[in-house]
Amino acid sequence: MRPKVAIFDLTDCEGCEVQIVNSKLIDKVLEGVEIVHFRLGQRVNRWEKFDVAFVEGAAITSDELELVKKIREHSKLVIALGSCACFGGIAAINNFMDLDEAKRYVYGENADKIEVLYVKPLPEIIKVDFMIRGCPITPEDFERVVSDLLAGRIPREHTRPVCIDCKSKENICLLLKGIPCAGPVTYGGCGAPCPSAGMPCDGCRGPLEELQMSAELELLKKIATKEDIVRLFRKYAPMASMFKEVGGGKL
Amino acid sequence: MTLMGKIIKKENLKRLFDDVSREFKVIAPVKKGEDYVLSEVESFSDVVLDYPTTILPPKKFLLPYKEPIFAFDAEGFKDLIPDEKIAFFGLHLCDANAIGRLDLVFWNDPYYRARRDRMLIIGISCKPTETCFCKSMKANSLTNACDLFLLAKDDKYIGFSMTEKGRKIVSQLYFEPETVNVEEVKIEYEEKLSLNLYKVERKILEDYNNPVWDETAKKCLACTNCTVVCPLCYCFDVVDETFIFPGEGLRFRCWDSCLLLSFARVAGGHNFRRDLKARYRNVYTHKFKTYIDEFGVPSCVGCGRCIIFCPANIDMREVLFKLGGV
Ligand code: SF4
Ligand code: SF4
Ligand code: SF4
Ligand code: SF4
Ligand code: SF4
Repeated sequence: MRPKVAIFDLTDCEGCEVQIVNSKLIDKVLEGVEIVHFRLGQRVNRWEKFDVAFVEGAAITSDELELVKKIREHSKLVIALGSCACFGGIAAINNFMDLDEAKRYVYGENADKIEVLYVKPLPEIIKVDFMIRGCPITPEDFERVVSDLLAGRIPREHTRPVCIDCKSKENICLLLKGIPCAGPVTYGGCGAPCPSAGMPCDGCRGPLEELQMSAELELLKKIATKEDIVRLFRKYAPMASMFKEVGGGKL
Repeated sequence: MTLMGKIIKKENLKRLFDDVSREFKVIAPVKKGEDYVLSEVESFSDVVLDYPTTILPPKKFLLPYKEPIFAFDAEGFKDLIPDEKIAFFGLHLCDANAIGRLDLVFWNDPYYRARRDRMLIIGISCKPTETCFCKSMKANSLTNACDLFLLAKDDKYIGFSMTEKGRKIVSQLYFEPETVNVEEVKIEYEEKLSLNLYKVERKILEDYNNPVWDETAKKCLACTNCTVVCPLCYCFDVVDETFIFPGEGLRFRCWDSCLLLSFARVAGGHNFRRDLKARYRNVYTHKFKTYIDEFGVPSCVGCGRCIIFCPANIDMREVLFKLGGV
């Protein structure tokens, strides 16, 4: 029997689900697993026992919180898909401001009818078995995790910073040009698309297992304003450990 | 030992290049933005002969970033031994000698060796910059790591052949018939900060708890820029990637760095170098102590890349200076 897979989305942009569909191996994956729930990708969906559930997005309403718990009850493995699920993502910018004020700014007079909660990343709500990081994830990361799980192996964590990818592409380090970059403290494996295009790494894949945050901040303070540094770490993985403190202004 | 050189006029370098590119994939320094990189070149006009240093060293072709070493499926596995013929055209002595020092470690590695056996190395004169310290690292003399070395002399080059491959080349007609004899070929210059290799080697163990390790590790981002750009850093990891559909996999060898936490972690979770300080010091003990014990030379040729490309402005020479290695 083919393993039963579900793909759910909470509050997000659906970009990581699109990356799944972008996978060159998607036809092969579809031959090997049965997708029983995938709102974005198919019309008929059903709830049953899932072998693996991928959950994209951040839970920002009580309905979503309930949904997350229900998914956990139905699934042998839960995988957080992308940085919104892993670390709160863009939506968690709310956590750094006055929620009512933010709501009024966005929804105007309808603000009171809209429910928005403090954004918790998935691992703070339920047990998460594995994370696929990135905003968005790379199709290759998805393929690797699916292949590893189907082979009965624990998916391997990436252990190197973005800088190793970046320098392998022979970029001159942005930090040497006075541009703040989170590459040294960020979980690599993305291939460093941002610094390769001349833009700083905003740490979308979250923190590396061990990071030299104080050395990074010492250096950043020499080339950037406090506001810029805060913004850098608040962007894509704001609820990740170590990033959360800096994003919250502690530097 | 007397070296016998043969003159080649500047305008004949193109003939040499064309000759080499008939047989080899030619890798030479080219411009990338404001900087220089080693890259495959097809036309001599793209080659830059006067350059300070390249971002990545020749190691990127000898021990690539992520190299598939064998493929496997349910039936068995297939070794992926490379068969490309590479010629480096225009390496500085530090980089050529770094390959000579890598040979000491990787000579029996089938993937490295396959490339190395088919390889041609043509070196060229350089103009030392303020980050160079190849003299201190005893890497400023011509060795047989180069098959051929082109020493700039006025408006000509003198070609010194160090191997059979090199001798075949200098016998070609684009080299002038007369010869020039010299005692040795050496890059001579005043180093900004000279080190005494013997003292460095001794101090590294003697001064194991010198405060310089704490001080420097505190500044270090563990970003691995320095080890990635080093022509002699070869820490690697081995990863398997399986693709369950259609049931095949690849084993890769890919760049790693002893500066990272995961590098010295073993099964069961124990880590031999838990602190960055210990890992940072390991770069030095390996380069200037254990490597010398094993092979008689340091695992550093003083190319200066780790100094140029460190975002935290950490200068290896200054660390060794503070340790007393001058
Ligand atoms: S540009 Fe950023 S990612 Fe690249 S080496 Fe520098 S700090 Fe690292
Ligand atoms: S370089 Fe940084 S921001 Fe860009 S994809 Fe990689 S981890 Fe994300
Ligand atoms: S390190 Fe030595 S060989 Fe290399 S460029 Fe500098 S002077 Fe030349
Ligand atoms: S340690 Fe630094 S100077 Fe020495 S070979 Fe490596 S990059 Fe060059
Ligand atoms: S390049 Fe500099 S900051 Fe980065 S790991 Fe090396 S010494 Fe540390």
